[in-house]
Amino acid sequence: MRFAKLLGLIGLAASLAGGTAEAKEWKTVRIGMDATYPPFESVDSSGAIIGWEVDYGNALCAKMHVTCTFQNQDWDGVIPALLSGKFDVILSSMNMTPARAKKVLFSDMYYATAPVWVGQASNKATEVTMESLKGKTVGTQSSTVFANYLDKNFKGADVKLYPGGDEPFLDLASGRTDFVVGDILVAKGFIEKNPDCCRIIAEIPRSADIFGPGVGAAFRPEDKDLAAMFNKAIAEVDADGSYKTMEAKYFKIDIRGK
Amino acid sequence: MLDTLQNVAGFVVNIDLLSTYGYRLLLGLQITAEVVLISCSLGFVLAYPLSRARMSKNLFISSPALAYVTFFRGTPLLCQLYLVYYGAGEFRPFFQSIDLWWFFRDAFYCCIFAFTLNTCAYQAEILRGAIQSVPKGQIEAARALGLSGYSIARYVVFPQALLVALRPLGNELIGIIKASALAAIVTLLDLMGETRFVFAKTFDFSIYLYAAIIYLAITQAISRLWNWMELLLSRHLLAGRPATMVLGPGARQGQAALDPLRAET
Repeated sequence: MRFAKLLGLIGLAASLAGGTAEAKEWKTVRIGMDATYPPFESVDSSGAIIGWEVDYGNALCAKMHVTCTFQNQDWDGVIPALLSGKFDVILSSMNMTPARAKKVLFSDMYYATAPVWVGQASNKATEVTMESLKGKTVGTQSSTVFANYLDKNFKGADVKLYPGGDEPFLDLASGRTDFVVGDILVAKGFIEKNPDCCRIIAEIPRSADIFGPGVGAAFRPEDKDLAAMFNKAIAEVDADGSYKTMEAKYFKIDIRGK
Repeated sequence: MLDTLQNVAGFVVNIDLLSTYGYRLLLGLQITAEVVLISCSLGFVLAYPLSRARMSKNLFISSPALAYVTFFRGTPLLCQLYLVYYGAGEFRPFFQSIDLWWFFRDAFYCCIFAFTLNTCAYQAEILRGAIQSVPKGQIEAARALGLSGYSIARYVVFPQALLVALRPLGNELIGIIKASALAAIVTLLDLMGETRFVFAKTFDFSIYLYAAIIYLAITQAISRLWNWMELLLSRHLLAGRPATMVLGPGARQGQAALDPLRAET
């Protein structure tokens, strides 16, 4: 009897799992993000995920007339989690690089900001070269465009890779590392809270092969219908001015990119 | 059907991945070995005094020891590692003033420090249990014979206690090997760190399979080494008793292979 119940449960679970994967009509969309990346996404003191990308995601979902849920997911596992169906879309400041585009389907670009070099406050340099990295350490988040940038252009540098987006800055502040490569807005947000810690040394030009054209939402390759819904919503949120309102609420600069 | 099989085979045997990135796993393995060997040996050295403190009748000695053991066995190692690594970062001026920042600045030393503190607590409890497992009567008898404290420890207590402690100490070593994968999250490129690095570059899951196989091979090798050591050290207990009684069925063959004298009988 108990065994039969258990079998029933397994069957139910299987049909639920299969159901969401094959549903043609999207009623709820599960959004996955790595919430270690303020001001885009982070976890507040009550445990809720907050940030610009949460607001933006909610605005998109309102346009699409679907219910959205947000899930926190470690960055290194964000693409595998999407592909295995843990959620339906990544909305997590993911730059649309050629390497990622082989695995996932991207929406249209919805923001683009500059990558930057950040150094100790005492460092008054205006650029970073292989020469200035001698005997120094650089921190950045692993599996990111920043890590790829360092790997490609600064081979042999002492690079430390962190699982989260906020940890490289913590170690820069504590003096464990001398530089961080990261997003300009994340860097600015951290420096605002820790003014004595560090300063932005230079912006890094966005080369297409490493950084791609900008940030987009990522889907499983077969979910072309969902990607189309998002693209339509992205255009609508642009058109009715709500993008500008959200942008102004969080940032002092224009992030829309072109 | 054939397609699926080919996919699975390609996942398990991925020559490209191994030839390109295999050496990185070996580099990582070296770091893992260093972290585990150093912290387990240091932990073992510190565990004995700690276990004595735990057994002390003086409350001022035994209660701090109890507090230490309770804390390090009762909280996640991940939490302890974060406390050491990011906690030390918060107190940089202090560590600089006592000239210890070079130590806490380095992720490698931080890992050694955290793992040593952790395994020391576990090993101390293993030693304490083992020492207390020696019947009191034997110690009283040794005393009655006029043996010194050192002799009692050397000839009566330790030989029996260490045999009892051997198996759980081996389990602790295996536990630390697996736990050492945590080092990867504080930027140390150990076996797990290199695995994550390779995965980030290739998005190829096979690399996790290879890492798992390496971990499994090491823990299995240690487990076998321990079986062998245990047999070697407990021969005197086995003499005159059927091997199955002491070690259970299946142990007899190993025993026979080990001991040529017994093999003849």
